[in-house]
Amino acid sequence: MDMKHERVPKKKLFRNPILRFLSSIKFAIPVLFIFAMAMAWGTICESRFGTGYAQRAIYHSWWFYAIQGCMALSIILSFADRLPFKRRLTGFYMIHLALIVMLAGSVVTHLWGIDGQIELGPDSASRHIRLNEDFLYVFDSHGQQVKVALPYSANATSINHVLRFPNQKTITLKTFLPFAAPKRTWVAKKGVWHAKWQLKNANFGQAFEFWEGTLKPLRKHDLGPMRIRLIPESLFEGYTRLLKHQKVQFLLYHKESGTRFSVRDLKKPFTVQQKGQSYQLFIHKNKKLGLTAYRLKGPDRTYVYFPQYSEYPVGQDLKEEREAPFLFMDLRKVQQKNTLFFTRSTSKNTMRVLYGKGTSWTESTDEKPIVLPWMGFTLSKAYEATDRVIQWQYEPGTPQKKEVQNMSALLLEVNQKGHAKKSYWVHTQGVTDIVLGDTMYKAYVGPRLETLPFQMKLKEFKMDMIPGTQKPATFESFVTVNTKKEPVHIYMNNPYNAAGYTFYQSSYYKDDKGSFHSILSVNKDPGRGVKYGGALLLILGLIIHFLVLYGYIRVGHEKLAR
Amino acid sequence: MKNWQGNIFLVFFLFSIFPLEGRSVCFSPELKKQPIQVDGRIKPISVYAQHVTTLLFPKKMCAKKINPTTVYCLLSLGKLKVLEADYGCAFSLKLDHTHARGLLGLPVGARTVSLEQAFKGVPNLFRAYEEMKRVGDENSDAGIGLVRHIGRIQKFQRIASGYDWHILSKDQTWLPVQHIKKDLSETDFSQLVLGSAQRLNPEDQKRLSYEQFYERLMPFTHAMWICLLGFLMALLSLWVPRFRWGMWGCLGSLLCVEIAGITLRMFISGRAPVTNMYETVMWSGMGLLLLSVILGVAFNNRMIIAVGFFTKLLFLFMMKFATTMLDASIQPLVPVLRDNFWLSTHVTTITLSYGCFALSWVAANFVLIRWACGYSNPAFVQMWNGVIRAAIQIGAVLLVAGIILGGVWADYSWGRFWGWDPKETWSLIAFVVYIAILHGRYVGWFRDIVFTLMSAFGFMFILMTWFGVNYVLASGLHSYGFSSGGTLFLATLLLFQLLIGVWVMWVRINEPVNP
Repeated sequence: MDMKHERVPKKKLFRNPILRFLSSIKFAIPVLFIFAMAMAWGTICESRFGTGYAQRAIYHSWWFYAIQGCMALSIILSFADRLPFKRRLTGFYMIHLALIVMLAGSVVTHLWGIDGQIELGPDSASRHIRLNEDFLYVFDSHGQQVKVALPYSANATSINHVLRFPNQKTITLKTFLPFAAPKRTWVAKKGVWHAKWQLKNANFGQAFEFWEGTLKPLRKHDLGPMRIRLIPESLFEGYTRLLKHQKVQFLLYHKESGTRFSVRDLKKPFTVQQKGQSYQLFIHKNKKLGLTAYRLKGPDRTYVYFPQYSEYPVGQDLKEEREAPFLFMDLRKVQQKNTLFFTRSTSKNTMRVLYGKGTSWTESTDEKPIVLPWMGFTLSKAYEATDRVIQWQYEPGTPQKKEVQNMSALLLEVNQKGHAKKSYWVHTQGVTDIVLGDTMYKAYVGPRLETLPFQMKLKEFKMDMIPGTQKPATFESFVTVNTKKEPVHIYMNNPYNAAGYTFYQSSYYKDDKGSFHSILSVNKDPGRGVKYGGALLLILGLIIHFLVLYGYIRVGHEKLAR
Repeated sequence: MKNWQGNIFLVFFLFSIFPLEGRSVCFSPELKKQPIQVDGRIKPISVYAQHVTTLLFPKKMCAKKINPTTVYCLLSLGKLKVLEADYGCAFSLKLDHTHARGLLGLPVGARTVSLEQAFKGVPNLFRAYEEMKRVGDENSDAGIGLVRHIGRIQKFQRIASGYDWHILSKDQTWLPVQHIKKDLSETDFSQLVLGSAQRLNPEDQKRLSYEQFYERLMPFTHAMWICLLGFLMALLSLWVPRFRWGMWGCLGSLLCVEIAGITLRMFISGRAPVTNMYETVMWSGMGLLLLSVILGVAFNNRMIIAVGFFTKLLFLFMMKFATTMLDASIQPLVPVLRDNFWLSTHVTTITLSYGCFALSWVAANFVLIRWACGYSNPAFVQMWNGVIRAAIQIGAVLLVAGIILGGVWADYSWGRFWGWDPKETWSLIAFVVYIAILHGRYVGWFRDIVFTLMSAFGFMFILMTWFGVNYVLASGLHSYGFSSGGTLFLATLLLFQLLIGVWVMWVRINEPVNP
C-alpha cells in the first residue's frame, strides 16, 4: 500500500519530536474533530441565543481562532515534512497549499475587510456604514466627540480604560456587558411622586407613566379610540359630578371652594355668586371662524373658555390660564372619545381613576385591576411611588435570538477632584447624560461607523409581490450617489461596486409613515482573490490526488495500488 | 326494468324542481383542466384540489366516493351542506401537531379536529404563535407545525368563503369566485369557468398542460415500483446471472421515468429542479443510483448496484410517504434563490455529494450488519471498504466543490464568502468529519470494520446538514415534543445508527482473539 511507503521516508525533515508530532496526521485528526465539534457547538448556540452571540462566543473567540491556528500549523508542517517535491504527491501539495492560501485569504479579509450595513431612508442621505462592533461615544455640548472601541466579547468584560478630560476629570470604562438585562432599582429622592399603569386586553397592551402631574406614555400618547388624562383633583371632582349625574351639558367649577354650578341653559346669561362676587357666563358664537366661545365676566376681568379644547380659560397668547378661579367643563368632550381620568388625591395619598361609558361612570381607588367597559380592557396599577425614583441597573442577560431585543451596556465611573466618584450606565437604547463638573456630556454605546467617500440616497424602493400573495418576489433599490449622475439600480444578485466597496440588497423595512427603508449590506474584501485562487487550487488538487491514487494518472515509475 | 323510462322521467322531474343552483359546473369533467391562481402560481384546478384535500382533510371523510375537484368546487361555492347531505361528508381538519392539540384542548392521540373546535381554538393558536415569534422561535419545528395548522384553518375559511378560488375573468384578471358568481347566471358562470383555460396566454397554457400531465404520470410513484423491481432483480442476479438483464432494464426505465419527471418539473417551474427538500432528495437519489452503477461496474460487483437500488428505494419511499417533511408541490422561489445559474451549479453539486454519502452509508450498514451477524470475511470487508472509500472520496470532492460554489454565490449575492451560517457551518462540519475519517484510515487508526463504522456515523453529519439544520436547529434546544416529522425522522435514524454501532462494538469486543 502506498501509505506504508510514505510512512517510512528516507529523510525526515523534523528531528525534533514535538515538531514531528505536530506535522503528523496524529495531531491533525484530533484537531479536525475538535474543530468540527466547536462548529457544531456554535450552530447550537446560534439556534438558541442568536447569531450575534454565536459570533462573539464561538466563531470569533480566541480559542476558535486557536483551533484554526492549530490546523494551519498542522497543514504547514505536514507540507514541509513532505519536501523536497515528489511528483507522486502533486495532489497532496496542491490540496494543502490551497488550504493554507484560503486560510491566508480569510486572515486578510478579517484584518482589512469590512462587512457592514447601510440603511437608506426615503428622505435622508447617508454616508456611514454600520459595522458589527461596539463603540462608546461621548459628546460634549460643542459636539466634540470621543470614541472608544469596546471588546468584541460574549460575556461581561472588565476594561479599566481611562478617558481624560480637561481639569483633571476622568471617565473610566469599567465593565462592558455585550448582552445586558435592565434591572429596576429604587433610589430615595425627596418630594417625587411617580406611578405606572398598565392597560391590556387580549390583543393589545400599553403601559403609561405619571410623573408629578405629567403624563408620560411609554410608547404612544393617544391609544386610538381612548384618551388618558391626568388632571388636578379639583377638576377630577368636577368631572365626577358632571359624569355621574349628566343632567347638564356644562359645569362651572370654582376651584377654591369646590363649588359646582350646573349650567342648564345659556339662552340667557348664567349668573353665579361666589365669595360675594358675581360672575356672568355668556355664550359667544363666532360665525366666521365657526367657533363657540364661552365668556365669564367677573368683577375685574373676563375669561374666555373653549371647553372643546381645555377646561381652563385661554388668554391672549392662546395659553391656558391655570390661575383662573373657575373651570368650565363640556360633557361633549368626554362623549367624543372614551376618556380615562386620573388624579392624585393628596388627602388619601393615592391615585383615583374615573372610568365609564354613556351615563354610568365609576370612580375607583382600588389596587385590584379594573375592568373597563371598552373593548375588554383591564386597567391595573403597576406601582405608585412617593419619595423614591427608579434607577436602572444592568446585569448580564440572556442573549435573545432576535437581535433587536438585545442591548449592550457599559458601566462608567466618573472621577473629578473634590467630588465623590459616581457611576453611570451607558447603553445602546438611548443617550445617557453625564455631569462632569460644569460640563454636561452625552454618552451612548453604538456600532462602529465607517465613512464612505461618497453620499447615498434612496430614490425609489420597488417591491414586486408573487402574484396573488403578500410574499415579495423581488425587491430593488434605486439609489442616487452624489458622485454619479445616473441613479444606481441595486437588487438581489445584482450588487453595486464603488471605491472598493460592494453594496448588496439585503433587506428592507416599512416605517410608521408607511415608507420603505432599504438596507444594503456593504462589503470590502481584499482577500477575495486569494480565497478564490485557493478554492480553485483545492478542487484541482483533490481531483488530481484521487486520479493519481486510483492510477488514472501515472506518475513516473511508481505504480500505485488501488 | 320495465319502466326505466319512467325513472328517467322522474329524475328529470326532480331536477326541474331542485335546480342545481350553480353547482352543475362542479360535476363537469372539463373543470379539472381549468387553471387556478394560487400561492403565486397558475395550476390546474385538479392538482390544486388534490393538494388541498390531502392537506386539509383526513383520508376517509365522505361516505361516498367523490372527486377532490368537485369537493373543492362545491366548498368554494358555499355548498358545504350539499356535500354533507348527498355524499355523507363529515368535515373535520387534519391535526398532526402535538402542541396544537394541547392548545385546542384535544386528547394527545387526536388526529382530526372538528370545524367548530378548530375555529374556536384559532385565537389560542395565534397567541402561542405570537409568543414564539417574540422570542424568535417561529421557524422551529413546533413553530412551523403550528403555522401549518393555523394555515389549514385559514385555508378552509378562505375556500368556504369563496375567496380562495381565483378564476381568470374575461378581462384577464384573476378574481375570487365570490365576486365572479355574484352577477352571473348559472350558465354564464359555467361558461366562464370552463372557458378560462382558453383565455390563458399560450405559455401558461403549455405549463398547465405539463403540470396536468406530470400529475397524471406520477413519475416518482412509478419510479418507486420500478426501483423495487430493480432491487429484486439485482439481488436475484447474484444467484441467477440471467436476471442482470432485468436489472439493467429496470435501471433504464427508472432513469427514463425519473428524467421525464425532473424535466417536466423543470418545464413547469422554469428553473433547476433543486429548490426544496423534495427536489433535493429527488436529485441526489438519481445521482447515487448512477454512482452505484459506476462503482458496480468499476468493482465488477452487482451487489453494489443492488445497494444502490436499495438506497434509491429509501429515497423514493421518503418522497412518497414523508409528505409533511418533503412538500411535493411546486412553489415560487424566495428572492435570494432567483438565479438559475448558481441554483443549478451549487445546489446540484451539493445534493449529488449527499447522494454519494448516502450510498456509502447504506453500504457501510450492510457491511456492519453482515459482519456483526458473522456472515463476512476480511476480504469482503476489505472490498466493501474500498467501495465506501471511493464513494466518500467522490462525495468529498463534490461537497467541497459545492461549498466553494456556495461561497462564491454568497459572495456574489450577500457580499461574503463565509459567514458561519448554520447550513454553511454544518456542511463544513460534515466535510471535516469525512476528511478526518479518510486521514484516520490513511494513518491506520480506522481500519477494517472500524472504518466502516466511522463512515456510517459520518453520514449522521450529512443528515444534520441536509435536514437537521432546517428541522432541528431552527427549533433551538428548548422546544420539546417531536411535532413535525423532521426531528423524529432524524432521531430515529440516529438511534438506528447508534444501535448498530453498539452491536458492532459489542461483537468486536467479544471477538475471540485470533492472531
